[in-house]
Amino acid sequence: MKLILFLILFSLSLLPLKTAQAQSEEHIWKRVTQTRSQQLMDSLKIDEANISAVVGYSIFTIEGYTSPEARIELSSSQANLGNQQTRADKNGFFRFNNIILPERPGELWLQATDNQGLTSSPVSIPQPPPGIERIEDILLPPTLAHSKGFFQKGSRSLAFGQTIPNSQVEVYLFESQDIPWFKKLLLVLPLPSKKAQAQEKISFPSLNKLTLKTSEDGYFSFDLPNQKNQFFRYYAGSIYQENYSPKSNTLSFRVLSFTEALYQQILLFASKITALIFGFSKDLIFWIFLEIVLLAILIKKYLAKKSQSLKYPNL
Amino acid sequence: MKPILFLILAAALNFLNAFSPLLAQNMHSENYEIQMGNINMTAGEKSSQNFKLGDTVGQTASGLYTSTGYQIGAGFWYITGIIPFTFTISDIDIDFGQLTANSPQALTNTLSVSAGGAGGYQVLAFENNPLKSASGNYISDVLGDDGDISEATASVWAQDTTHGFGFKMSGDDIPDDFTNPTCDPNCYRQFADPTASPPEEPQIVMSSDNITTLSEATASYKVNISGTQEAGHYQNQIIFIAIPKY
Repeated sequence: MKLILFLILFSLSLLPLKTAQAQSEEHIWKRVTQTRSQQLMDSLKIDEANISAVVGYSIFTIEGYTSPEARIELSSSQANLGNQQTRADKNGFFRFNNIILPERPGELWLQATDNQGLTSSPVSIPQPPPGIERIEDILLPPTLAHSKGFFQKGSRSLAFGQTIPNSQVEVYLFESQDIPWFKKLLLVLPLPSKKAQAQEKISFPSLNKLTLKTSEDGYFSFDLPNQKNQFFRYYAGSIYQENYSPKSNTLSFRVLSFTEALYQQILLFASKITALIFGFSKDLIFWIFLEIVLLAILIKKYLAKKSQSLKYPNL
Repeated sequence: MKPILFLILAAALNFLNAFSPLLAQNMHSENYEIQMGNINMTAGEKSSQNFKLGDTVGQTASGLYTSTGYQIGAGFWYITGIIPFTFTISDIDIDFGQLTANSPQALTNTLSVSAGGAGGYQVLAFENNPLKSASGNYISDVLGDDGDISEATASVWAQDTTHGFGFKMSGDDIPDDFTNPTCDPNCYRQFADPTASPPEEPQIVMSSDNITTLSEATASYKVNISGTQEAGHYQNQIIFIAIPKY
């Protein structure tokens, strides 16, 4: 009994020691981890310096008109204006604000890409004089495209584009006539009388003008002439508040006769065949292929004729 | 009688146990907190004509302990810095203004460090990105006259036809490559660029293994552009991280 009591009392006496050791060990652990890390975090210093520089000499604004919601790019011939882009509003008005002008930017180039992804021809502005603050009322040319560049007489091809809304568009069509090679030769030869005759016979391209009105979205379209078997070139320009825009890209198309259309179809078919055989469509491959075939035929005929003459020398 | 003796013996053991853990403790009062209190034999600062000594004798388990990946400096003199750790930059707005092609511009600021930790200190630097304009154009980090400048190695940049952005260091505790005789005083580096591929790590621009009351180094930032540099307002940030070592 006494022994049991002694053991109980002895174990009770040891209990505070174990508890104190456990507390101390925990405390040491906390001290090492928390205090050390806290000390490091408190002492780490982070600071930053801001670096800035300006490339360019003056700030200017450039604005004008194009088709609604078109994307406009501004660049320079010296390629030192950076990548400048803006978007026109619903009225086709665009503005590049606070553009930093380099010391020598060269020509400024503006080019629009309309809603349909058509790109206008670039407009070039001479290098602005130093200190200029604003360039305004720049009219960008219309975009222009057509559905078919080669089509048979009597069939339909549509030309279309986009420019400033509710503006006037003028389309200029040029019929260019095919000049035979011997007439071209006469023009360069020193034969006065013949040269005069040739010039008389060559008619200059005739001009046709078509006037259109754009929609509220700036769209315009028209049918290309299809009654004459001829080669045409054409371009368009818009007129906004009595000011003329630069001309659009110049496009061309050919109205084909039945035989020309057939020839085109054969060419198209041949290029598809060569694409199928060689894996890619190149007109050059087709012509090489055709020449090889013709040469083979000619050589075969020549050899056949030669062998016949050898067999029957008296014939 | 014997049970009483047992009780007295047990009480005595308990009493002794209460004083047994002679380990450091944090001690608190209403106004003070003493961290890692310890019982020392002697401590203090002693000086003579030529020497100054700060000592603590009797602290439990003091000293430098090392293992793979760790280094522990245990003891007051490893932790309690007499010199507070400070880091300052004299000018945090480095504005080059308008740049002219092939006409290098340089600006400076001073980095100052005081470090009382037994292991000294390090200052690391990197840029958030190369100098960049709002429209996304860059003045690229300089490659140097010989095309061999990197974020880790300084090399010569003296020609006006070498374009880009870089820096050099002069003064106390700077890396050796900034004073390389082959390029001094035109030894320039790029700032480390974490947006580069592969990302570049921050690089040491000042370091010492000793305590210092004041170490000063001048950072000289240099920029030069070509005639085809796109116009714009270019900016970036240089981040300095000063780390004490114990």
